[in-house]
Amino acid sequence: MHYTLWPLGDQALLVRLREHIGLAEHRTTQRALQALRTASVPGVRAVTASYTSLCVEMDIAHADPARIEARIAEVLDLLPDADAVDMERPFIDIGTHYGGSDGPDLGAVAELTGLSTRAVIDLHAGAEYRVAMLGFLPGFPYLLGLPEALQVPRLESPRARVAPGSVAIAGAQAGIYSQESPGGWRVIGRTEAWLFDPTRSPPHRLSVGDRVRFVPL
Amino acid sequence: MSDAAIQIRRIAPLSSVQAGEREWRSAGVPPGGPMDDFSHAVANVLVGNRPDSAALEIGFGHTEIAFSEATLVAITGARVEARSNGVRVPAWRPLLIAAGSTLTLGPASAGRFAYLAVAGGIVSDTWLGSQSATVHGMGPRALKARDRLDFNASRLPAAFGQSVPLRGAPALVANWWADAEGLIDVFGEAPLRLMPATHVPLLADRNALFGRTFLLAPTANRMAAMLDGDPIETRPTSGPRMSGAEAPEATLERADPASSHPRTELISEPVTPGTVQLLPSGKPVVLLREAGVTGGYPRIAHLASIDIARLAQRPPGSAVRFESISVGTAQWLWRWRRQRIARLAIAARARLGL
Repeated sequence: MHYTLWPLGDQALLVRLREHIGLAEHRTTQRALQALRTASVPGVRAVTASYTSLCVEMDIAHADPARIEARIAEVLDLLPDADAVDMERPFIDIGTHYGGSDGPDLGAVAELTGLSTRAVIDLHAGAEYRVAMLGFLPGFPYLLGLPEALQVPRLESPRARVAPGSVAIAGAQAGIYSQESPGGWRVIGRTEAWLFDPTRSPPHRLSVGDRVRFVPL
Repeated sequence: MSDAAIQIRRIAPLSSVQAGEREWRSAGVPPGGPMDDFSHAVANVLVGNRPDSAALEIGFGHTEIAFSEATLVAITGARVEARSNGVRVPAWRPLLIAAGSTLTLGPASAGRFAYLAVAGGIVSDTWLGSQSATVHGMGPRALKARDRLDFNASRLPAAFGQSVPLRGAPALVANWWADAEGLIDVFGEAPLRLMPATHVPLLADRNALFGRTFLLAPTANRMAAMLDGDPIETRPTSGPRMSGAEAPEATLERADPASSHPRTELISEPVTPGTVQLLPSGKPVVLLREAGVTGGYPRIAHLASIDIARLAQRPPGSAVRFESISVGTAQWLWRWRRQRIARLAIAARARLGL
């Protein structure tokens, strides 16, 4: 498998698998993630995925970073370069209230896209999404799969407060605010589904690679 | 377990309980932990605790803590005037505070964060595997006046070295100490050390961070420290990019429409404490303990892990200079510092008779 390996500071490595974002790239990243987790390389504390890269956290107190790097290269070199096949995973349905005070930007998105608000909802809820990474906030999923017709720029000036559970879009990305936060994505709906709960194990509802659908309520 | 407590009468703003890091990057949770992990660890080992035990991280201001029982403590980190019942007590040494005493800490004259470790460690709620307080609205909160903190009362030391009783003061001060400044230059103005990062080729001048002085912006917090100075220029690039790929945050700085520095749109990738990102304004920002786990701005350097504590202790407005270090040397220094703390822990436990 083609990849590039960089130090990410002195305690981690960055493995970049692809240079563009997309479902095929996501699947390749997933395959590398699974391979490295399965290999459980000694001295590796954790491997996590972003859109097209992996973060390998090292325990440099107990392992030689050069050996970790060599072992990671061995694992990745054995992986085929062909696009990985889709992983069969059940859909996780996120019940969503669109528009109104739950989705204050639904009207603006309709205006920007030239669609009716109904069509925006149908398009957003009709698409199938993949969790590409978790970041920004604990449990915040970055989703791949937003229809091109819904791709709009983010807000000119970010909101000081976005409600928890806000279902939002920005550019080619879709996401859900897992907690209250400032934010610049356009909010078109809101869910009461839990996304992050530290009393559960794992604490995050959605994991990288999960398939997600939004279901209008 | 907990059968002893200390009472917080007054607490400096931005004070909290800090322990070890969290290991929940997969859930998008920052590692967190003490801003100055070195001083935190030394305070702990001076009282016989594990280096990552829960201890107090104390911000800038006045703090007053009441002890109902005789308690073994140590103060490290920022230079603060510490008094037990009004009598000065030294930092970087074990102190045996007498029952019914108060300990006061004044504002720092150097550094930003002081640490107070209590033998046995603070007992508090664990959130995702760590007692470390967070600023992101979930998990343990910052401390406030009237908080009562339980701790695991440990046996008081059988021996206290040859302790030096302070005249008239109900505190015993050990006659040995941690030579902190010989271990790392916590408060010095020596350059902080940077390793190269993936996006250095985006810089018009790949040495743009070196040979000049930045000023630490007043906005520095537990998430990030922004550096003021003439903007760093980037060059046009054909690297990986995607419109709107960076995080949906409003926390750092938005693209400045008046800026002559064109925004470089990159695919969001992992970042860690110590990652130096270049903001659209051309200003570098050093990510700290509670920064998000991914970022979409160019990564132009990484601060050596050993120097994160040194940056964290610099007050806003202070001058910051950088020099280059290799990843291998940074790793060697980190292991060296860790071993020194481990050795100090053994020596302290022996002297305390633990």
